[in-house]
Amino acid sequence: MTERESSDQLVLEAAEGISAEPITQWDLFVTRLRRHRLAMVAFFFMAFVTYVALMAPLFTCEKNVTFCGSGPIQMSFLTTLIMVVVAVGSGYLAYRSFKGQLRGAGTALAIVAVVSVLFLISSWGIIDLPHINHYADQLPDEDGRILVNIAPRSSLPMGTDDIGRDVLSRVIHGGRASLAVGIVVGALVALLGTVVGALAGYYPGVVDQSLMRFTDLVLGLPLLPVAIVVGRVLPELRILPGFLKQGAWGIAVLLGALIWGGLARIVRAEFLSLREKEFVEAARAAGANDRRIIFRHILPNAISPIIVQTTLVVGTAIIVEAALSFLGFGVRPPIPTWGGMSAAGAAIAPRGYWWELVFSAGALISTVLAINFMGDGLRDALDPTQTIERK
Amino acid sequence: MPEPLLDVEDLRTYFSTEEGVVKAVDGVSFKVNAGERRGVVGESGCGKSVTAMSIMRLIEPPAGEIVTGTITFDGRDLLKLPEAQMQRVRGGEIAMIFQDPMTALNPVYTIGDQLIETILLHQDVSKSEARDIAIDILGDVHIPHAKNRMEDYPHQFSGGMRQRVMIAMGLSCDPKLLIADEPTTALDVTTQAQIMSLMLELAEQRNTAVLLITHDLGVVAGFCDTIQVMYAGSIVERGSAVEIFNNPQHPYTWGLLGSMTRLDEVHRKRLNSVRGAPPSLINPPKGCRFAPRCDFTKQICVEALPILRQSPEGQRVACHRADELDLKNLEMEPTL
Repeated sequence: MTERESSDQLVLEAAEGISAEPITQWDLFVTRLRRHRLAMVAFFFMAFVTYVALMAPLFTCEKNVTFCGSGPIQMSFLTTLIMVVVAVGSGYLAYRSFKGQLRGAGTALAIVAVVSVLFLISSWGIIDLPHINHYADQLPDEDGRILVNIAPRSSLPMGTDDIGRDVLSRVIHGGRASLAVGIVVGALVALLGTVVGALAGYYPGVVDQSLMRFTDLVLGLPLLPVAIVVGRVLPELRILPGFLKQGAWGIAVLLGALIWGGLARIVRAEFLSLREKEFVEAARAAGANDRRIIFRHILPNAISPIIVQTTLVVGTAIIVEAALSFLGFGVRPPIPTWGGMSAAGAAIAPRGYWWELVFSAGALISTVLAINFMGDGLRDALDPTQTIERK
Repeated sequence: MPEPLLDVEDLRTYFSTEEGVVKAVDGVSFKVNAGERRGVVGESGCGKSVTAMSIMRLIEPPAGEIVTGTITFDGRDLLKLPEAQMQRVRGGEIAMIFQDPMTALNPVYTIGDQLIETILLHQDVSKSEARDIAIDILGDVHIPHAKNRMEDYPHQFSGGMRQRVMIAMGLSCDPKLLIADEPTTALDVTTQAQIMSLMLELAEQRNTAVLLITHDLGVVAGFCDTIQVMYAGSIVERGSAVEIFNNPQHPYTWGLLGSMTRLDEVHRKRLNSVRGAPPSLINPPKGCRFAPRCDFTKQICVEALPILRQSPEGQRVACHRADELDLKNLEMEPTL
C-alpha cells in the first residue's frame, strides 16, 4: 500500500460515523495507534501491571491460616469496591478517549498524571510505612512450621521462596519498585533532557557548546559502575533526606541524573530545525519573547520524539534498576524487587526451585517488552511520514 | 513637512560566513510616511528581506549584524531600544506578514489560539475580549463563518485563507506599519489578486503604512504609491509608482520592466531578460554594482560608485548616465 492510499484510508477510518466533524491530529493518532496491535496489547498489559501494582497495598493476607485461607490473597469489601471503581472509571475514560470523544492529548496526559500521582503516593507508603510490608510475612502451616520452597499450586499460584514468603505477593509488590523507578526516571529524564536540549538547540554558541559538552561528559560515564559506586555512597550522606537513602527513590533519582543525555541530543536536534521555521520567525515578529517561543511555539512541535524517547528510557531504567538489585546494589531487602528476587531465585534454582526466578524474571521481561512495544507504537502513530506499517 | 513614520538612515547589515563578510544591505536610506504604501522591488538576494528584518531587528547575531545606521520609527531609534520594548513594537506597532503562509502558522495550535495570543501580547484586554477582537478581524479579512473557524488548525485552511489569517494576525493590533515580505509569492495568481485587493482595502481603511517587498512588478503596480528598486544591497532608484513605471531612469529598472509580461501590450518577441547574475556581495565591484550587467557601461561606471541623486524627472536614481540615457524611448535588444 502506498503512503498516500494508506493515509487516505486513515482519514476515511477516522471519519467513519462522524462525517460532519473535522478530523483532528488526535483522531489520526488514535487511529494509527489502534492499528498497531502489539502496541495495543502492550498498553493494556501495562495498564494491568500498573493497576495491580497501584493496588498492591490493598491486598490483605490473613496470617496464621495455612496458605492464607483459600488463597494467598483476600480482599475486604471496601478494597474490592475501591478497585472496581478505579478500574471501571479509568476503563471508561480510556474507552472514551480512544473513541475520539475526549479531545486532545491533554486528556490522556491528565489520566497519566493522576495515575502517576496515585502511584507515587502509594509507593511512598511502602517505603515510609514498614508495617504494611506483609510481602515479607512468612507463611506458616497449621503446626506453625514455615513453608519454604513450596512449588506452585492452586492455593499458591507462584509458590513460596526459600524463607517461606508468597512469591505472587512479592512479584506484585516488586512491580511497585520497578514502576516507581520507571516513572520517576521517565519524569526526570523528560524534564532534564528537554530543558537542556531546548536551551542548547535554541541558543547557539556558548550555551549550546557548554551544555552539549556537559551532556557528552554525562553520556560518557559508564552507567552501572557509576550507579553502583554512587548508590553505595548515597546512604552514608547525612545531608540527603531519608527517602532518598533507601528504597527505589534514591536509585530512581540517580538513574535519572545519568541517562537524560540521549533525550537532550534528540530535543536539541529538533530545536535546531524548528527554530529556523517561518512560524517561529512569525512569532518573533509578533512580539513573542524567547521563553514564549521556546515553550509555546517550538516545544509542542517537538513533543513526539520526547514522548517516544521517554517511553523507551522508562524501559531502560527498569532494566538497570533490576540489574542493580540483582547485583545487590539496588533496593535493599526485604523490600521486594524483580531484580532482587531474580538474584535470590537464581541461587535456589539449581536445586530445582525454579519458580521464584522464572516468575520474577518473567514479570520483568514482559513489562520491559511491553514498554518497548508501546514506544514502537507511539513512534509509528506520532510520525505521519513513516511508511512502514506494522500489524 | 510632517515627520516620516519610518526613517532608515545609512543602514548596513552584514553577515559573516566562511567565505567572508556578506554585505547584504550596504548603505540603504529611505523614509516612509504614515499611510504610505511603499514597494521594495529587486531580484533574489538584493537585500529586500534583510532590510525588513533589520527594521524588525530580527537579524540574529552572531551570523548577522547591523553594522551602522539608524532606524527611526515614530520618533524612537529602534536599534537602541531595549529588547523588552522592542518586543512591544514587534507585532504591536510594526507587524510582519511572511512569504509562505503554509509554514508561518504554528501547526499545533488553532488559528484562534494564535490570534488571541498576539492580541493578548499587545493589548490590555481579557481573554474573551481578545476572542471577540479575533473573530471581528477574521471577518474583516473575509473569512466566512469566522466564529467556527477559530477552532480550526492551520492545515484545515487553504493557502489563500492562511494568508488572510496572517494578515488578520498582522492587523489585529492596529499597527502603524505593516511589512509584507512577498505575501503573494506562494499563492496562485487568482488568489494573489484577492489578497492584494484585501490588503489594499484594509490598509486604506486603517491608514496603515505598508512596506511591500516583492520581486513581482505586477503586484507593486496596483498597490503602491511609491517604489524603491534595490540591487546588490543598495537602492538604485526610488520614485512614485507612475514615475518608475512610465519613465525608468536606471538601466536595471528598465531591464526589470522589460522582462515583465504585460497584458496591455502585444508581445511578438521573446521576453527580455537582464543578462548575467548579481555580483557577489562579499567583494562587490568597486564601481557601479550593476556595471558588469549593464548595456550602457562606460569607464566611469567601473571606477566610481554612483550615489542616489535627484533626476530631472523627479525620482531619485543612482546611475552616472541617468541624464544622458533616454531609456523610455529605447527599444530593448532581445537577449537570446
